[in-house]
Amino acid sequence: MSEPLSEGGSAPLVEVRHLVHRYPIGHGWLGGPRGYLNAVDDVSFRVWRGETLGLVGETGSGKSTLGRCLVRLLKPSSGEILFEGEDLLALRGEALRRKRREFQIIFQDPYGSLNPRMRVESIMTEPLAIHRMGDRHQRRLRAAELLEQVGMEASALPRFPHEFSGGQRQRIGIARALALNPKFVVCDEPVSALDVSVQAQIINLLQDLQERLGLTYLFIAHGLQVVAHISTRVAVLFQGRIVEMGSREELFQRPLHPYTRSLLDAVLDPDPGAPRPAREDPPAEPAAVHSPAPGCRFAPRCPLAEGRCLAEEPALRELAPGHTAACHMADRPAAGD
Amino acid sequence: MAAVLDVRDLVVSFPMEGRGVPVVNGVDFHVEEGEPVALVGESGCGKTMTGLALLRLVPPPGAITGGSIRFRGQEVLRMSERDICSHRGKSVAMIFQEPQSALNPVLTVGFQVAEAIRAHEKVSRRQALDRAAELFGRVALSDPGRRLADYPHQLSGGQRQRVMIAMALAAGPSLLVADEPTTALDVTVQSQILDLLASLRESLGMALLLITHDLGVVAHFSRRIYVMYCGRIVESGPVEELFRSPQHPYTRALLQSVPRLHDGRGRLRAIPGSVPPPQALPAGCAFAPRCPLAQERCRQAVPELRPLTDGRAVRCVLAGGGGP
Repeated sequence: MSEPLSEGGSAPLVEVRHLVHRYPIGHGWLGGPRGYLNAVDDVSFRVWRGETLGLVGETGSGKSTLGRCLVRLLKPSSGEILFEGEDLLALRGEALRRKRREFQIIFQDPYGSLNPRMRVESIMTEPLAIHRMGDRHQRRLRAAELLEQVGMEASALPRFPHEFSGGQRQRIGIARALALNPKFVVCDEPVSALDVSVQAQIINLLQDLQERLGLTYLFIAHGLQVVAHISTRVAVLFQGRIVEMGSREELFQRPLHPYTRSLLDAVLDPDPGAPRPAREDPPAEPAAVHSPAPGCRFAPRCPLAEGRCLAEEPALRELAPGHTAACHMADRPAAGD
Repeated sequence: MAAVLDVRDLVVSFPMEGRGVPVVNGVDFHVEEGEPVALVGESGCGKTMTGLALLRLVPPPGAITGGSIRFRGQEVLRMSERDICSHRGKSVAMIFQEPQSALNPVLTVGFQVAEAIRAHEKVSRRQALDRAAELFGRVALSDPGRRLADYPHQLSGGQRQRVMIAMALAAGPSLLVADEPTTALDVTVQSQILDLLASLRESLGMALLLITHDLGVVAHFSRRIYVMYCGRIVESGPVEELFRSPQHPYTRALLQSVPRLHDGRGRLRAIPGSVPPPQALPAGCAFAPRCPLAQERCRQAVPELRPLTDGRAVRCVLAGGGGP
């Protein structure tokens, strides 16, 4: 498969090859699964050091599953995840645990992701204790330092999560993810649950931390504006497959895949004068499809679909430097561009 | 045009820490016949409670403790139980953020919509189901006749919201209150549902009160807007003017803090701090602790909502005139 954007010959921090994660669905004879749903279905990409790769897609596109596979919270069904060239799926036991320091995750829900019975100090020092880093006193100092790094005061240490607002809790979640000095952080919808006025604070914080600590992010979100703001490159996921990938400028200014275009058309910028695509009679919604038919998965919803799209699944092709799309129709010059 | 709904000085309180704490604190607004109006604010600002109050559905221990709600001149707060039941659905109907939890999982959606029809009209079960199918067609559900027999879990999120809209339309309301109707939905589905609401509003001549935190939704789907902060309306006016020259520092900050699709990767202009809880509001202007312009007098008394020109109003002692 052709790979977009090689960064001056340097090796990628993370390389994902033909990753598949399937969930069993239903119960058949003797309780065995009736079938499988490929939530992540043959996905390959690279993440370069210091970049933010945005991952967008609708509910059920597999974006969270993919994020969790990358930090080994889920064990993929097949494929490879190379972290600095080392296959994460081959690691087990102590070797895997040691490796875990290098990749962490920030969750969407700042309420559900912090143990309500633990004080902030224990939340922050737990990862350090698990990895046997420092003694009690040193861990405590580190916890205070981490809080400061995310713009909070050490006075928060003896308090419980419920004493904090959603934005502050998300800061605690970020500090915890940074405790072990990771290189790679998966941000799984880190601002979706926050109020508008607080979202911007957290986005700024994530950008500052990236600069200061040289972090690499995989930033998962369904909100396109946030992804467009924070990412250097963006991958669009549809029913478990990457359908388009490119630099943020390329992808948002010259989207190639009709699905990406439909996502962009649906964005409502807070500007009453901004043009919106003409209102059509809303198309009847297709029900969720669990076992895609042969051909392009987007074809049933695609305005451009032709016979070939229903017969043959398109592969990702590089259509402009560093810009790939999986669409049979994509190389045709789009009208009006 | 006449007001279909006129709310004056509405107060909704919840008992907290041994006293009644207002979460909606003297809200005035009106909606004209057929008009799309938005009530905008962040979580906890009181926008949902305001919406529920219109139907007298504030959940206990909360209660409406003051003010007036007039629907076509009739005082909703003084209606008998019987009248309020017909008011709900027939005058004012409401849809919610999570259509999943608003539908009964063990009944078919056809049954549930037919039930809503029969609550307001004496028709047979068969007729009610026929009407339900008709409504399903109106909200552009595919194959409406077949959908009747579906259970909520068989539908997608967008389809469920369409069912909720069909149910809300069952008795032909004059005002539809839509509380974050698309927040739980995917972006492409969101715009379909909003387009549907807009076209239903036009074709049925129904007013729409859109309650949301999403300024993008407001910009494209309402004509007038009320911005709420900490239980009070801080600014109101026609959408174009308000977005072009927001007068309240909170409105301005909110508009500036939203990332836009074609902006660069620069820093966002975040609002410092967070929304104070209703039991710990500061004296004076509730936004003062986060406001870049706050002065001593802002902290002394709650500013009045002052009318400006062009149907606008602002609750800030520093705003007005041309604006900074």
